Amino acid sequence: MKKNEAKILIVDDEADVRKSIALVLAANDFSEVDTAKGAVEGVKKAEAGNYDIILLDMIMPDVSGWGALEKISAKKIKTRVLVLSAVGLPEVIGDEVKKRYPDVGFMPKTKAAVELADKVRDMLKAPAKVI
Amino acid sequence: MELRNKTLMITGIMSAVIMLGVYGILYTIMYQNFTTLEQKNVMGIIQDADARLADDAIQLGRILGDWASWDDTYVFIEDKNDAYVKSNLEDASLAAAHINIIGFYGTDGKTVLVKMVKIGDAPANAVPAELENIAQECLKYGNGSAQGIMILGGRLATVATRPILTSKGEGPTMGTVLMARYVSREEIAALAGTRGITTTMWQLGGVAPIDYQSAADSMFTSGNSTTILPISDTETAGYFIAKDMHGKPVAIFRATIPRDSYAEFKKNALYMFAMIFTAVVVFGGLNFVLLDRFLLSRIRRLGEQAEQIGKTDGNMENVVPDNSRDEITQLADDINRMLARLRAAQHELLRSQISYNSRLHKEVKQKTHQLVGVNARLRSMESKKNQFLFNMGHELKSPLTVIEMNLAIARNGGLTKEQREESKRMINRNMKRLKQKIEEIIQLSRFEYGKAVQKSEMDFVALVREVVGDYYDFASVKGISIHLEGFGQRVMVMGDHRLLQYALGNLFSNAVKYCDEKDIDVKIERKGKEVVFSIANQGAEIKHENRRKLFRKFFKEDQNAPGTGVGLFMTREIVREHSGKVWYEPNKPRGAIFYFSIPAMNGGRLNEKK
Repeated sequence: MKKNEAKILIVDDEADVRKSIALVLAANDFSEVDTAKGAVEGVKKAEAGNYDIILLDMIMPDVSGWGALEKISAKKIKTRVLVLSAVGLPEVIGDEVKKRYPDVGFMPKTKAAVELADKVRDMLKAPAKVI
Repeated sequence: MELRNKTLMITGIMSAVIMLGVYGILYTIMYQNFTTLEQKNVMGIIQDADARLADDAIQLGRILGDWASWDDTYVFIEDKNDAYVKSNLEDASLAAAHINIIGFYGTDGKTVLVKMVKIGDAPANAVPAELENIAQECLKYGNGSAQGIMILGGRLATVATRPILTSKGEGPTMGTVLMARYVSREEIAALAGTRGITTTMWQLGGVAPIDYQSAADSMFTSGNSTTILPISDTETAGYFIAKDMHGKPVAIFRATIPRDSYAEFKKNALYMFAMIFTAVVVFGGLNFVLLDRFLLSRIRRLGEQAEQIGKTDGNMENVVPDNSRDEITQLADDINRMLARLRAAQHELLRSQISYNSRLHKEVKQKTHQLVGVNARLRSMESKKNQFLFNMGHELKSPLTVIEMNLAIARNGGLTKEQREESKRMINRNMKRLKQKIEEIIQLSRFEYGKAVQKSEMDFVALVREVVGDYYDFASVKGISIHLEGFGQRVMVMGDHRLLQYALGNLFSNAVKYCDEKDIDVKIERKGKEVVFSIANQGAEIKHENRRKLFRKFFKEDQNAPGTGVGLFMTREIVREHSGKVWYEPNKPRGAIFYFSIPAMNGGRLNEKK
């Protein structure tokens, strides 16, 4: 099986979520997966790590997903971002994300188990850019 | 009706009454005096007339006396000589003496001689039948001497009789001699004698003129022989009854008298009326003017001032009292006193109104403030509740997502064995987390509605060990090791197993979640009648200002952080439900220690074991 070489960063405050996403991605042959426990660490890693795609949680202590998006945008990091959220009303968050950052993707966490790999693959087809 | 008009009316009526009363009384007195005077006058006149008539008879008697006591006459009766007749009974001399009849009668009353003289229109042909009768009665009842009036042959006459005696006036009486003189109409008219007064006569028996008739009725009814009947304003009439020698009424005389004094009286009465009228009008007017000046105008002024006060926009200035020290001044003073009290009351009212208003204002402000506070709290509670639901959704979804993802991994395969084991553990862990969260919701609603607590006797240490078991895996994922102290004993408590398990689980969950270093210390201590549980980690500290808010419902240090903010609140409620308390202390060098103590049962023995 052809290994997928895309470099992926998972930003989520919950260890089990990070681990689970990593496992889901691993099951889909994404082997270069890195994790960050929060927005601050995530942005720091994104700046240095040259990731192809960042999977970003929204609700995190200290700095939220919105804060991370702001920073990534401000620092003009060329990458792709997919927001994964478990909030009560995913479509509201999704619409808001689309409005503020048209190039950022959105997926409710509940769908991640099944659709995440396809969505990541899909997004990787588009070129990385400053969001 | 105005007081002034009333006074005017009363004064007018009183004046009129006084005027009429005084006039009436004075008039009556004057009229009576006048009438008495007039009657006296009239009476005098008619009595004079009556007396004059009697005088005529007496005069006649005196003349007759010369004839009666005369020897010649004495002799003549005896011998009836013609010489006597010739020389003494001449017509001319008799006429000069105004004697109409002279008669001589014997002792038997028989006529000796009757001589009649023709004077004026008086009849001289037939001897009146009455004469002999008079002579006889004279002789029969007296000594033959009498005089008076008689109706002779239908005409009024004065008659006198005398006994016939000698010149020396000695008897025996030879009979009686009689003289008669007819009273002419002119003589009758002149009876009253005074100028302007005329006398008339009516002989009884004929048809009477109306005034005579009423006078006669009056006199005969009353028994008086005189009466006065006014004819008109200018004349009055006095009447008297004339009686003949037999005492028999024969005629009524009337003296018509001009009422000069009556006109005078009427004039005087008019003057008097004018004087009284003037006096009453003057006094009444003066009375009214004085009343008006000194009483009415003052009352009116007082009334006007009171009216001004009475108006809604009228001021409450004092009325102006005047200087007369009387009841009206007193009334003004009373009104002023009343006004003063009224002003004071008004002032008081205003003051209390102001104070009431300000109190009301304050109260309304306070209540509004309270309401705003309550509303804000409610709003905040509402928003916190919404936040809670939002967070709870996230809290439930997180473990669910993890489970879902790992189940998908399990279905798809393609991982190393190690990875699959990891995945399984994750499923278990997150199942427990899910359970804890659902428990949280259930317990919260239990606390919100009814607090159904079911306590039973149990070993607190065993319960804590159970919870440690649940979180051991969770902790070990983060590389945390849990150190236990005081677990070698049995501490019996009365408690709700599920609630205490939840409370402890929450403290464990927090300790693990916020632990940065590798150690968590859990300790159970028996202190007197209580058992004290503590769990200490090393990691984030609670900000000083948040320490008091920790146990509040929906409190979260960071609103964006995961969690529902009810965990510690629920924990505190549960501990309180077990008559215990829960508190926080900062750990050293960093991190947090949460304590809770609940009463232990007496039966519990300290049973230290290794």
